[in-house]
Amino acid sequence: MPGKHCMTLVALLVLLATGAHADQSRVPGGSWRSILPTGTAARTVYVAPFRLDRVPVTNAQFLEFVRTHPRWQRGRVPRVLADSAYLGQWQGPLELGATAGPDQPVTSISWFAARAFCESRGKRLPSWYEWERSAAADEHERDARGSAGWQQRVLGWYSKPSNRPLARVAAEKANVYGIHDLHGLVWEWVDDFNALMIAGDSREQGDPDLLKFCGTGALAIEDRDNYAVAMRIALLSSLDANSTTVNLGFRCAADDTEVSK
Amino acid sequence: MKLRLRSVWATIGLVTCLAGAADARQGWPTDSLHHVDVSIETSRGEVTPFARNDGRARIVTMFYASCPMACPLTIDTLRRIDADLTEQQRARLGVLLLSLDPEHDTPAALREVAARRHIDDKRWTLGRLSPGDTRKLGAALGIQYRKLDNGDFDHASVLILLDPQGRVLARSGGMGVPDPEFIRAVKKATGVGWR
Repeated sequence: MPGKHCMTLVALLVLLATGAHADQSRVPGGSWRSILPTGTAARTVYVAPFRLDRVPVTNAQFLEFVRTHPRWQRGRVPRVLADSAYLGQWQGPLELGATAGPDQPVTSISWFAARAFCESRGKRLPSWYEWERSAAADEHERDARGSAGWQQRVLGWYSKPSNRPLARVAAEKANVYGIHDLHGLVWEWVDDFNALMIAGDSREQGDPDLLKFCGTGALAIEDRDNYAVAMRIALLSSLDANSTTVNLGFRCAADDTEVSK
Repeated sequence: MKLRLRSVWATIGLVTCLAGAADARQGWPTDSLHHVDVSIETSRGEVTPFARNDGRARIVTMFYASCPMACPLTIDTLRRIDADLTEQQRARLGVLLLSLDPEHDTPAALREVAARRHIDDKRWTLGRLSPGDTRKLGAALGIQYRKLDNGDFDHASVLILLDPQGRVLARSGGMGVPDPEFIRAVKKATGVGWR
């Protein structure tokens, strides 16, 4: 009998050690040339190593979450945390129905709800830099942004009509990190979506850079040719934290706690 | 140092949990920002839930102590608004200045700002939240900000007027001459017969 207990304990420990990471890929740290201006004299920013979910969070996973966290069920969430279309594609507050397959990415999710889900799993939302860094990769290289193929593929997705049913997650090939669906499936929340201040936003009086912002002011996109990524920023910066849309989902990230290799 | 910081955030987190429970009981309106369960560590060293119902309207803004230009202007703007109110109206208004830079803006650093800027009114509160809750409340308030690698912040300077239930009544840019419509909203929210 003690042996059996021991086995259970070992299994638990293994699960604890690997469980949080099993569904995530490690993305190495390093200096990063973002499409966002750094706001300082430097041309790049430093991104610490992190882990990112290999696939977006699915309907099945989110259903499990709202079962155990009833305050996030549709109909219970206050409007200030999720707008009226929250989880609108589900049949009911605890029922996916025909229009929301268990393996499809969950959408119509507010930033608050996405964040609460990640926190419940000991994770967090990725930052914009983390998301951008992961999404710059293709199957072969870590930064494929310069390749025509990469841009075409992303822009090709944007031009598809958005009223078709979503594919299941991981239907497309993973990128070089082993991460799927950063392009081509859904838009994704980032933790600092409200850090993406696009020039032209809410200018009120006089010189917007001086009056509206403390610091260097609203962002102008660095890489003007990179519409593929610029469109992401434009979308995210237009959202409120309680906004939901039928094409907006999320995935979770985590700090990289392993000793760096 | 890191560990001590962690325990500070843990304490603030615990109060947040308790506040969250209270929040559910009190049944705030569905559009009330009081549903955002975060806690504030004030310059006086107290930890209080953001959600509160003391019958006062509040003006909330976010700033950081080492901010060179816009933030001093924001404090001036808030003062002008205060000066435009009657004694009675002022008694019904709280002013909440929250830090965007919780790593540096300790209660002591915030007390220093209060002293330097002669903020001695008890109705004015300077405070910080845990880093995660700073992002959370900033997002809830619709305040855009980002930290730059050199330690400075880009941020929108915004004043947000909340009614005692935590609903947003008005917003205004925080620098220069106060927006007359915003002042009207403050007067209405703090006037006799309101509530």
